[in-house]
Amino acid sequence: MTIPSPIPRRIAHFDLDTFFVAVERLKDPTLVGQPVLVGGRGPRSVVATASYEARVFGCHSAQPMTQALRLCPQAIVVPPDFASYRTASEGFHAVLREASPLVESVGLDEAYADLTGIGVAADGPREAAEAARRRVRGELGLAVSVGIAGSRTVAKVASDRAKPDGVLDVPVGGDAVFLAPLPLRDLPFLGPRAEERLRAAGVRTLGQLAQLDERWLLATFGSHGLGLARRARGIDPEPVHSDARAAVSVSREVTFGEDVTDLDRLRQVLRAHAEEIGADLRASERRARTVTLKARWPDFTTFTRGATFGQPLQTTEQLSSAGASLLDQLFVQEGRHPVRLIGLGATNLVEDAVQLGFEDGRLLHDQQLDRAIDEIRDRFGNDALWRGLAPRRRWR
Amino acid sequence: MDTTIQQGELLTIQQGDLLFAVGRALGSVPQKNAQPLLTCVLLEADKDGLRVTGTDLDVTTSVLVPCAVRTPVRMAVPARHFHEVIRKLPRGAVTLAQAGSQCEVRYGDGKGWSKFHTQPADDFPRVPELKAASKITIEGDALARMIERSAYATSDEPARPQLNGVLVHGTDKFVTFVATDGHRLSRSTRKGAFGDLTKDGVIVPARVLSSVSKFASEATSPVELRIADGKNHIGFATQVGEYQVQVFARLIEGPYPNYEQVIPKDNPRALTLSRTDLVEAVDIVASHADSNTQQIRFSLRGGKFSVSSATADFGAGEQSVEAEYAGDDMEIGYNARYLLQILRNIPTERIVFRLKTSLSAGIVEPVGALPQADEELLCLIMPLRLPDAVG
Repeated sequence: MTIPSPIPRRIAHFDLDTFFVAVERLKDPTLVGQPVLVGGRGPRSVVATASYEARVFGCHSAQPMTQALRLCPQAIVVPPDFASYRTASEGFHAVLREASPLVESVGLDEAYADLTGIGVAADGPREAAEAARRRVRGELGLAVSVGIAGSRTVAKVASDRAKPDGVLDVPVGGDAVFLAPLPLRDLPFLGPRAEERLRAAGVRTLGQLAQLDERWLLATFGSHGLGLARRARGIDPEPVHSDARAAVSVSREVTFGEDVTDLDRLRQVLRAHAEEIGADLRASERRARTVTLKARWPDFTTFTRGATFGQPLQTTEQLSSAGASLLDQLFVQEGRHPVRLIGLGATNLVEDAVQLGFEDGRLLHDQQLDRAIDEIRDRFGNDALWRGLAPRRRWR
Repeated sequence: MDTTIQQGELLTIQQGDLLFAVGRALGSVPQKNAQPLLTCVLLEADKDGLRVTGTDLDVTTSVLVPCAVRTPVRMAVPARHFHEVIRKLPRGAVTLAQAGSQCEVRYGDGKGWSKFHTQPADDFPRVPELKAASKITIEGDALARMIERSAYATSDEPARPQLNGVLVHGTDKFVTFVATDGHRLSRSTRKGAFGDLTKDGVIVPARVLSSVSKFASEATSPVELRIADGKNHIGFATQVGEYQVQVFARLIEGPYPNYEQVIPKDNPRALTLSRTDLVEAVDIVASHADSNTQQIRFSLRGGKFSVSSATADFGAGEQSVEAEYAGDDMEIGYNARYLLQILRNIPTERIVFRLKTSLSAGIVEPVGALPQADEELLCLIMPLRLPDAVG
């Protein structure tokens, strides 16, 4: 009797290349081949995505826009258009969900898919990944890089090295060998302080990290250290979680070009946030039990305030008024301040089943209104319709 | 037995009588309070007997039990501590005595004694006087039933205090107890003349009713409800054997919402079925429901009825239930917990759901007469909106 060899675990990490830039180029093909920076133009704006052409000059995401423009003055700055990014992202995830039943979104432009046992031959997972890449390219016009390996950690490292527009299929059983020559910083969740400690101990590569004495790791980093060494050996049992569990919150925030003191303006921005969060919740058939407000003063003091509701919220109206009263509460507790950043979040998400009350005429009305607005925007674009109180230009 | 009066002796009482009084009064004593006096029960002895009173300022319970009083007295003893000891004492006579600032309990025919610190009784809150009160009289068991059939539907959210209580109102022909939390409603009615009832009625805190229903079910005389003229206080009084029990409470300020307008008049779809069958199905299927929304689904298709539930976290389940239904196919969602509470408080075996749409209030009613033919019951439940419901 022979024991059949087990089906090897194959996890793929899909990562859209310079996602925001790629979407902007679809909207405006003249941007192709040009150095492009997606982000605001205000004095405090940061780069959301830099095209490869701009990266050559040292531009990268999360960099202050002013600095990026000093490095690459000829770059074209495009304000972000999140509605388009979300639409593209939904298309991307839909393709992946047809490739595998187990897909976990980790952002607009990134997702893990469990491809274990997909296809008949040993290269089934790779073929499935290639097919998904072709569909994303053909149907959405976007380039996506893929890393395939025996674990999430290694798949993520591989997708990074597959960029741009490539596939890196780490051979079955070859995860540790693949990681061994790579520098420490390539390992996800290895922070700069841990890297510094390891470098001080003479460790330069993931292969060296993998061979460190566990007692030393435990003494130096605690149990986190053992985890690092295990992942440096390519051992990471964390499964791909289906999306039903993955998304735990929806939030929006904006940093103002100039600090805002006008309460009406702040409420308008919260309403605009509520509009987007509400649309997200409705599209994914979820409701929020908790609404959080985030506000930052000019001195960078940051506050968060939250309120939890017995009846989970979903309508723009509910989210917006919850945000407004949290803001009032914050100002009462902390005094009125100019605001540098304001954000609204929906957390504690539950399934979309709302207990109706005898006096819910108003609620049902708001829900119908939201649904109608969502449909119009779906058909005619996000700018087709705005509520009277919401500011039209939000990214200034 | 030594009959000489010893120093400081106040009264002699049966352990069982004392325990009943202290136990009932304890129900109104707050667990913790910054004022030590409020964690005490007040003991008052006079020619009528021993009166034991506990209060949290909102609700006051006072019980008068027979005893042989030697010296009239008023003193306050720590409620929980006192109850704890009295509970353990052997049956038979116990004697309360004053020993300095302490209250001494002598028991077991001189076998033992227990001493408690007392608090100055003069500051103990007065029992509210119900001046020029209007009066309503209801048999104890009927009162207990009406409380049981309504109080579960009250809300505990402080945002709408009116809904934290049960509306007691009526005319000279009936009395009605109504409670709702905005999602479900229960209306329990008893026909007859019960006294000075008005249409506006009074809102009695649910908390009070839970202690009232306890003694109402064991009352040996009808329970008398007295409502103070300003409609700010209510008192419940009855006899439990030799004991006189009284509960006073602050009423919740009205007006109560006009609940009658939410009772649907034209719900054409009738679903008739066995209550126990439905309770069983809902109870099993709800194990798969979201722990938060408790959502279950009624499916009425082609004359067949089933209850189902499905969640990403807890799997799925479905059970069909024999039912009579003639109407268009429909699906409607409910909170299983709300539904079970309603079903468990309907006393008949056959029940009927009267429905209109999957978004509107449904009526749940007993089919046929209640065990007490002069009583009626009507429940309403609002659905859970299902994202994908049909009908």
